[in-house]
Amino acid sequence: MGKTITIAPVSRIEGHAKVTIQLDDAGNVADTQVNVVELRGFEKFCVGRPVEELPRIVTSICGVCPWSHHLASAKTTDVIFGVEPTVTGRKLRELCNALAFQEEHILHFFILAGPDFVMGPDADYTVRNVIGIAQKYPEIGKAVIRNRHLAAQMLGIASGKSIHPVTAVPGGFSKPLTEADREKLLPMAEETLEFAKFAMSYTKENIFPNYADEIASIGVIETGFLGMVTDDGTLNLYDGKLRLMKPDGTYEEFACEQYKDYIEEHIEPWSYLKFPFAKKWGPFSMDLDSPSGIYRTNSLARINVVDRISTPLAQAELEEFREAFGRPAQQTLLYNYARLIELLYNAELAVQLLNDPDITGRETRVPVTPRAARGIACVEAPRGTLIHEYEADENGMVTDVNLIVGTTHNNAPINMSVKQAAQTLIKEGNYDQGTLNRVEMAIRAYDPCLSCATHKLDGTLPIRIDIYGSDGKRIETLTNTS
Amino acid sequence: MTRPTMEEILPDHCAKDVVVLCCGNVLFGDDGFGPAVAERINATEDVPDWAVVLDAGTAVRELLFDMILSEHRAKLVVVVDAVDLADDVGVKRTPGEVFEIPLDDIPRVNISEFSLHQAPTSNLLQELREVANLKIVVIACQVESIPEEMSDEISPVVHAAVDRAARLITETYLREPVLAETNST
Repeated sequence: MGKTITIAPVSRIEGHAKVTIQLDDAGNVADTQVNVVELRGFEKFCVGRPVEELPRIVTSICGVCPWSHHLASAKTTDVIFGVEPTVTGRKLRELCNALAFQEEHILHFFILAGPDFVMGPDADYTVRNVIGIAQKYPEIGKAVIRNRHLAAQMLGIASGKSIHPVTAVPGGFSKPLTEADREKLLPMAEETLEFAKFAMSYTKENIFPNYADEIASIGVIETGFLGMVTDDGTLNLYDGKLRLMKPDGTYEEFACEQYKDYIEEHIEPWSYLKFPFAKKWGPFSMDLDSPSGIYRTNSLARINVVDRISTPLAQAELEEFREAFGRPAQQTLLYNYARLIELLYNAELAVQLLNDPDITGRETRVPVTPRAARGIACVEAPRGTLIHEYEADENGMVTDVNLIVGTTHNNAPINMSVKQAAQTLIKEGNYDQGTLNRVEMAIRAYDPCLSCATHKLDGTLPIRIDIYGSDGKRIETLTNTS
Repeated sequence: MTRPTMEEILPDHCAKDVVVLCCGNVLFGDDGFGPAVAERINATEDVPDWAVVLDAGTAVRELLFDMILSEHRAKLVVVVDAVDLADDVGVKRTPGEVFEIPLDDIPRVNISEFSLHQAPTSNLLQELREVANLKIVVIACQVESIPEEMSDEISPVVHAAVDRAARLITETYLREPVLAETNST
């Protein structure tokens, strides 16, 4: 037995997201494991509550993507009550989704993943962050913050609240958009579109070309992909059917309420989090040489599965992306590229919706009446396909809840990408902080939601690396806490 | 296209002189202390127009990133959060105790973030103080316990502390604008 490297963050509510790298006697990577925490007790918490309360409750699950949970929940309650939202109600939901995606994708690219690329993976942690970017490129920093302000302000105007949204309700949307507000929103949306265009062209010219080697090597695995499309195969993040694409590009499609016919959950003894896999593709295996049943979600998956994008600028970028990387593209770091295409799409979509006369319609919701029913609905969240499933009794009280979130879909692929990255980068026991940063880049590309519940004041997750010798004794502990 | 001015799009957490950020997850028992304080102040006190009291929930890091990068900043930031220092040697606290934690007592963590969820808030607060030269106050409440499974029930001792903290924050930071000016120097 060789030695074990453990990257072990610690947090308050058992929010341990731990990376373990097992080396063999020659110092090469034998195996890796990534443990991602899952929220516990949500089902029990919800049972017995009025089902119409869930769209409001689920926004507290996650401070980063509350809108995705809010909308998935509202759609599920539509099914429970057996209603179809009004045209205006649906378009207002879609507008908020497009605005929330912009806020989220700007955040992820420029604040989380961007520093690896802009400052470089070998840069010290003190500058490899958005503050480092802001100091090195102050104009970009100003543009990032202005556009985050714009997206948040637009969400506030459209919905009243951006942090804990409450406006999507069973049957539609609780608040119409006035013409005065529409006129206020449109120039803001046009400005964020300009920024999305800048972000796309700037990174294509100045960032990604410098990392061609990393893109071609770090975390690259061969998997299938899952994402939402309309009936004609067009990208849609709010509604549609699910398309499950094999690595060879062939695919099946199904309504989200059929997800259990296509997706099964595998359990590993070392992880709290389950491993969803495509049940028709054979037994679950994360073997890098012959994976089986593995699919990915999130931006790269969506960009891979769609036939087209409905907005012209994003469609042009999709074509250029496919020309360069093929379909389906398997390079994990391309999640960041795909995210920027989606930023552009959402910026275009917001402008389109604000120019749509339906958006200021006064009929924003239909009335609902409690009934016993089971409902399943999904949206595409920034981190992947988000499925909500509820059951309610004849009084409209919740009797059962199940959620599958984007990061859960990506549990197996994250593990595989870390293993691939570690095997590629760690040879004969040689590694340094830059090596481990590159391993982390493979994780970060997926933008995982490691724990929605942890936000410890004293610095949430210090990382500790324990190295164990073949005799089981700890040889060395490296820590990145000062 | 008429670009809105920065003043027109500034969120409250960048526009107001005094920003009270109440942090915590209402789905995890006593961790809901911060949001409960925000709810209490906003429901029972007249928050002056130069201040804002925000239920930041679990999204505080997004707000802090904005505040660090923005050219428009508060003069005083009050962070309200639940903490568990009951077992710490030398700083033993009792459940429900409300106290101020000097920012310098919170160690800066040398960490590279996996995701925004893990971005260290303490680093961001110290960064905010350094780049913005503003005053930061951390008001904490010692929890009785944090449940392993979701629960929106705050323990009685922490529930009782919500009122005390709300009064403390209101009296100390939300009465006179001049106080914020004084504290910021």
